[in-house]
Amino acid sequence: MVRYFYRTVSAHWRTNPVLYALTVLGVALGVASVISIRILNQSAVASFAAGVRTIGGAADIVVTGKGGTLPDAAYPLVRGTPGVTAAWPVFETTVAVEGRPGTFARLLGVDLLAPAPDLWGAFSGFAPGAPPAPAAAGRGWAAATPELARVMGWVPGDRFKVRDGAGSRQLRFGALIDFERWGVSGERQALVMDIADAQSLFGGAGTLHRIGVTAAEGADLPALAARIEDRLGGRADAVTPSERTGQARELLGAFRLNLTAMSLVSLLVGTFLVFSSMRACLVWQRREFGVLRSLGSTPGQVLALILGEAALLGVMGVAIGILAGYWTAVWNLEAVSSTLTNVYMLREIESLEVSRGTLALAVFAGLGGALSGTLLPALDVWRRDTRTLLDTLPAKSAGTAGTRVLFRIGLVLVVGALAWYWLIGWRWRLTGFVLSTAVMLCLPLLTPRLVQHLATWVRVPDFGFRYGVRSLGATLANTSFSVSSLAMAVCLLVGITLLVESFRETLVRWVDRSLTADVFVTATVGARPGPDATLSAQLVERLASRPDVEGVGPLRRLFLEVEGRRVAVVGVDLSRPAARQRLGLLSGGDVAGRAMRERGILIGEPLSSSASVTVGDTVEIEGPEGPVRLPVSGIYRDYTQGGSVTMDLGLMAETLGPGALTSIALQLRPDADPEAVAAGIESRHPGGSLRVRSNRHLKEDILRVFDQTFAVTRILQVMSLIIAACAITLTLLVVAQEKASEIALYRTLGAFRRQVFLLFVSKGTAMAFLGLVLGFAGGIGLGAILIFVIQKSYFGWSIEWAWPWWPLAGEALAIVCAAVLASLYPAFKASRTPANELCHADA
Amino acid sequence: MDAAALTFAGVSKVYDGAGSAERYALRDVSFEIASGQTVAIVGRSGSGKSTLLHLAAGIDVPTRGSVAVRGTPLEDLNETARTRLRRRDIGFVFQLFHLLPHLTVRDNVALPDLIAGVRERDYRERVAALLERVDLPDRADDPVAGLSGGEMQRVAICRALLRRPRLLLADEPTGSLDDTSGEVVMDLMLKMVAEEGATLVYATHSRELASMADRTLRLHSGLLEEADAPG
Repeated sequence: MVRYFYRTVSAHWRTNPVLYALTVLGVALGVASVISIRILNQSAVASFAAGVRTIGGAADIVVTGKGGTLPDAAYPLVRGTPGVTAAWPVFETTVAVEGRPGTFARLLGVDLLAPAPDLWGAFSGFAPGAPPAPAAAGRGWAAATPELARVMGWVPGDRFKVRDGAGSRQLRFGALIDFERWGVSGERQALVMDIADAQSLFGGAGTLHRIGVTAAEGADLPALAARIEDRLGGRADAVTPSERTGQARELLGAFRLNLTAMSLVSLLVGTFLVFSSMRACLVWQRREFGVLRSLGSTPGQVLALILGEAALLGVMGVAIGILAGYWTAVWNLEAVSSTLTNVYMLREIESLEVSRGTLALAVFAGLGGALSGTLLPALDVWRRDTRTLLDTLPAKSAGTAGTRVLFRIGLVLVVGALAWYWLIGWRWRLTGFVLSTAVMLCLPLLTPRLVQHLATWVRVPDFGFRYGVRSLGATLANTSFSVSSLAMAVCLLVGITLLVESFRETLVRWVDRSLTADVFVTATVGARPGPDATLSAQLVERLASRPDVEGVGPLRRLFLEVEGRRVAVVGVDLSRPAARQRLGLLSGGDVAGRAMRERGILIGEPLSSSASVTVGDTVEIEGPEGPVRLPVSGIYRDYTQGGSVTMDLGLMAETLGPGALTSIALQLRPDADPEAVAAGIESRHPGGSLRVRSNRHLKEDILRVFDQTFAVTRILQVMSLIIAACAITLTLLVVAQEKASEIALYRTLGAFRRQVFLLFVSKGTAMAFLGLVLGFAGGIGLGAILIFVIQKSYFGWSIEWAWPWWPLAGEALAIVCAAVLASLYPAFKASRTPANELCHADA
Repeated sequence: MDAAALTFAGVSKVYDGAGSAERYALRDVSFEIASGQTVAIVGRSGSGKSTLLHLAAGIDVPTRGSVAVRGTPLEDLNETARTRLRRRDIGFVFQLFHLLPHLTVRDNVALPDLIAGVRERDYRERVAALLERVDLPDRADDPVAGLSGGEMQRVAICRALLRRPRLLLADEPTGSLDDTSGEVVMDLMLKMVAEEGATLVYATHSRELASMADRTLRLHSGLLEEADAPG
């Protein structure tokens, strides 16, 4: 039987190469979409974990300040906590390396006299065990990672400059530090220097960012962490590195879940394709199985043959899918990386991680998809008796009763899901995904009945398009699978388009209302805003006194814990009308004025939603000086991740301590050119310490980041559409072969080849239209779920519904074109069917 | 004088066999059928009956020799011209009826005109008349799946005659029917062909059915063994 298996499989491939290739492609695309997303998701978390490890090293616990930093005095307290065997303080910042534009490095200040355990082993370039005393090393001594040294071409002794928000500093390359040798796969581009030197050079005297802790052997880590937090008066977090990575995983949870859900849709559509193609294969092999059965094969052996062939196709699909998935991930690396840094304030992805789990998932998804797609048609063959298998298979349409049952199940599914949501489901966070699944699943259930109705309903005045529609009813099962696949892909496409375009429209309105100044100046570290980046008072004064500046809007931003969530706390001058105007408040009245009078704060909608806080409640902010409780005076529209808090600058200084501004908005005189002013300011501050953008430029940047964030979803949409187009090709190929005698009849009755060709193109187009109509209906439902349920529950964003007519029209056109293209090859094949094919059927 | 309805002159049809061997489906077959004749082609399975009908319909081409329909040699026509000729002059009835399950009885009969691009108002009456003629006027809007074998073949005969072909070819038209139904269908077909003034060439195994024809051609392993003179 095994030998027979190999022979028949190769014979089948030779007979129907396109069909088998499409099956493999279906599996491959499904696998590729799933694993590309998993690779990106895992790499994002792994990249964050690498950063944590670099900073924490082999620490059992990492201590961080709730207000972002810790005072130097925290270090002896941590070190003296019972159960702590070693502790090492870390000062951290990000710097731009001058001499090579676009090169940034994480700069870590560590205690070179009492470094983390075994850290010396990671240094090279000087004698191991003979650490350079800071004094001996000299001011500005720094070790660099091999990657950074290689990129910059440094040799020991080289001097180089780095820049942060405060200006340029000269350092000296003294040694290499390889974190891998410390037992951690850390950041590739980093600098390590003495902590005191770093603090004094980079304006952080008396400030620590983290303290790494080694616990005594057998210590209870959660209990030790709690003790450390107690000793620091509850103003610090003590977490294990894995907990910290878990926090990042949680932060990215919604982003990852969205992408994973979409990739699973691609897999589902791929499984439909496999189902369809395997069914077609089995139709052709049916007689062969009948012969085998009549020669003594058991039904089990026949089933094994079928599943074996499906598994073989699945394995091929998995192999191709893994490669395609990896390259898709590489292709999208930049977009996802930018999203992580711009939206989630996390590190960029430095390298892609392909874990064994990912490979296992690929095998599971590919083989599972192939086998599950084959199971039903295989079982159908398995349960048939030998005589039936030997019969010439009439192309039977699904019975009316069967399609009616499926249709009713589909309706019950949708209505039931909506009722469940209305009654109790709305309380559950995952409810949106349940509703989305119901919408997606109802499409294949409703399709057969609708195709059947349409085919029966349409009149056939000619041998053209309407005849094509009518003939779809004759191949209901194949047609329904193809239309369902397309409808699901279109549903995903339309749903995402509605979400993205509605969100974009909302964002544009929000940006137009919020950003009214002409030029925005933001302090940056490593070319992006960060908690350590501030503007000096002199710079602010200098900019305010420019002759072309009419007014200045100050802004100070801190990243603090508010109600247990780390969010941006923004201070603005609420007495300025422009500052009040930028807040799109959800409630009317003079909310900003009331906030000033009540010494209250305004909070963003996502924070209000996630922390269940509303106007009149109070919220606790973990300030540098300790926790502060302030009343909420208003809630504003906010499209940042996790939300934000806005308060008056005076209140901020009073409750959270004084501090420098992080950005300013410049209102220019009417005759000033914002672009020229922005360029002029930036040219005077080279090196990436300032980001100066005109109003137009800033809005463009915001929308660019937005578009980048959804770039990956576009890839998934395209993949689903390719799979759906393959389904159309496949279906028409199946029809061309299954219905060869029907085509021959047309030819015998006088149909020209071009008429048969056009008939098949008509069938493809009709399927495309059906898929479009169903998919658009489902897509509008999916869009509503995404906008009003999922985005609200996961991100707390209020998005206004918009109809993006042009993008939707463009997509519809693209789908119809894809369907027509997909039907060309089968149409050509069908048109070559000889008229004497009928005599074979009669034989 | 009218040209013959169908002429075979030295026609051979050779298929590639296993290895390099050639398999003759027809070998040097020559005959002429006058307009209005009914001719039965008899022979065992594999004797070449179906091949002969396919060559006559222009859906296959001879390896050697010439086939002419109403004086037009088919070898001089390209694929499109042969299709056009078939559309205009030839009707075909099959053993397995080959009705389309997704179409109603009426649409199945109308199919040749649909293909030819004839407007519905121009064929509606003709379809109705044909269905009336075969006693199926009440079944016009029914799906064909509900018809008996004999009814299906009557519908197929209507379809074949819709465009008033000069030559009707029928390949084992009663092969899928019981004897009684077969005789009824054959009777009906002969009458309708006579009414339409067409020429009928049909292949059959049955001596009884063959005896209903004006003339009988007997094929044996691709050779025309006997050609009865027109009766």
